[in-house]
Amino acid sequence: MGATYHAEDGAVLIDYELCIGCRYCMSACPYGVRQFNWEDPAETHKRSEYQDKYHYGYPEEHRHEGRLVYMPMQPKGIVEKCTFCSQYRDKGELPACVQGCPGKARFVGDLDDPDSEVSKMIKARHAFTLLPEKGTKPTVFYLPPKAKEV
Amino acid sequence: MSVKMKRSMWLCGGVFLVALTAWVYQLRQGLILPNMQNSSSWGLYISGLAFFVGNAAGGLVLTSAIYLYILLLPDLTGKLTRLAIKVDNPHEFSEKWAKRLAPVAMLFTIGIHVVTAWIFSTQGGRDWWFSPAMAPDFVSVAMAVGTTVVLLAEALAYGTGEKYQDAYAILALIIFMATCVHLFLMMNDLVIHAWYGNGETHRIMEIAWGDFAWAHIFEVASLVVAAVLLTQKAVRGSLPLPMLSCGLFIAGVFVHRFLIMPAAYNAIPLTMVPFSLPNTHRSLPIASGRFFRGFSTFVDQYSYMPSSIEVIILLGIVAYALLLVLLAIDRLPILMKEKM
Ligand code: SF4
Ligand code: SF4
Repeated sequence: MGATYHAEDGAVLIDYELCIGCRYCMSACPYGVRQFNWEDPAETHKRSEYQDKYHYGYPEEHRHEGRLVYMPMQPKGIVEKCTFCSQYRDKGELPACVQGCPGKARFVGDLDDPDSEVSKMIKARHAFTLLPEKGTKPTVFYLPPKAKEV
Repeated sequence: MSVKMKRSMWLCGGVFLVALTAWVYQLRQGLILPNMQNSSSWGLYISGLAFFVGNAAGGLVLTSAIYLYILLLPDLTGKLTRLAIKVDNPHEFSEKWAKRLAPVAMLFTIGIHVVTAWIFSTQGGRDWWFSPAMAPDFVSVAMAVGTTVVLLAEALAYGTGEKYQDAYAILALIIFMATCVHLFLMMNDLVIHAWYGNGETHRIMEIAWGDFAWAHIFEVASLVVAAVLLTQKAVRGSLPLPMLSCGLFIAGVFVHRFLIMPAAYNAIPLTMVPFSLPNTHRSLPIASGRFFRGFSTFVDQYSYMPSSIEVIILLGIVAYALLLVLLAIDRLPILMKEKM
């Protein structure tokens, strides 16, 4: 369907208007990061007993490069995944988890630029990726603990 | 129309209508009704797809064997005579057309089924499917089960009189040979998996052979028993025995298709090795995507079993197919029908 695509900035995003919910991508994903909306999220929201009118997450729909990649309440029957907070990054802000991480353990940046903070960290700290043998060439890297942290 | 036929049609029609209602209900509620979840995102429906595509593909391959069709096709009467092709020398006709049609039909049908197999085997995330033997194995199973469905339909429509025994013997031989090829490919695949397998592969084998051992025994035993029975002339001569054998064979293939899912999905592929200890693979939990109060939404293993709505919808499809076969038997003028 071409619903899943590589955005200019390298993020893998899903176009909600194209996804038919076949879940092919979920079977293929070795990381288990893809999530299907098995029912109308409004129903789950009701059952979860949040306070009336409470809603989590970014409150508006967001289009990235003209494609619908975020909705506060995704319709049932489509797949979603981490968007690297496209809605914040397009405004020049950091992803929510980077902003909110109490340990300041998360970083986002430009891997194409060898002088960026993330590129330097990856080089200096022997960063690794998950399941490299699957050939997915991930751009999410993990840094092993420093000697004093072990 | 006989009372038996009428009752069978009503039953099939009824089951189909119930399934249709269940399907509309599912369409409205979402896929929350089946028992799938994020870590097990395909289930009975996709097994059904592979099964039905296989039946159709196998049946279609047989269309290239025009010789059988000439033996088995009904004589058309009334308005339908216009559809009939006048054949003076069936043997010459079959030679001529089989040569032209067979390669195209074969390529097309095998192609469809190879693509179905590739849907599974190209997914690096699922070690259980990640095998070059899957496509040829799919084709061999399709040949076997497609031929079984044709044999069953023919026996239902024409009976098992002497006139048809030559054709049935050929069908039985095709079923037997294709079953042998399938079992060889399957065993070959399992041995290689087990031989080179790392901790993750062994975990998968544990699920396949531990939790689903009986299903595996059935998928092998049913095929062998049914295929051998069908090669026996004494069995083919009676009416209920070939039908029972065909039923057993088709059930075995269905279980085989269902077993594609559990070992591929029951362990979550992303694992870690705590403290680099040997043989200590742990699946990392992922969100199930389903919300049950009081239960964690994160799972590191999930044993999928189809829900009743999935079973009903699948049965509805089978009932619909059966209804079409019964209608064809009833409406098509079958003159060569033997006394049952
Ligand atoms: S479910 Fe996945 S593979 Fe299917 S259309 Fe949506 S994004 Fe594409
Ligand atoms: S908060 Fe972090 S993990 Fe969640 S969508 Fe944003 S970037 Fe992805």
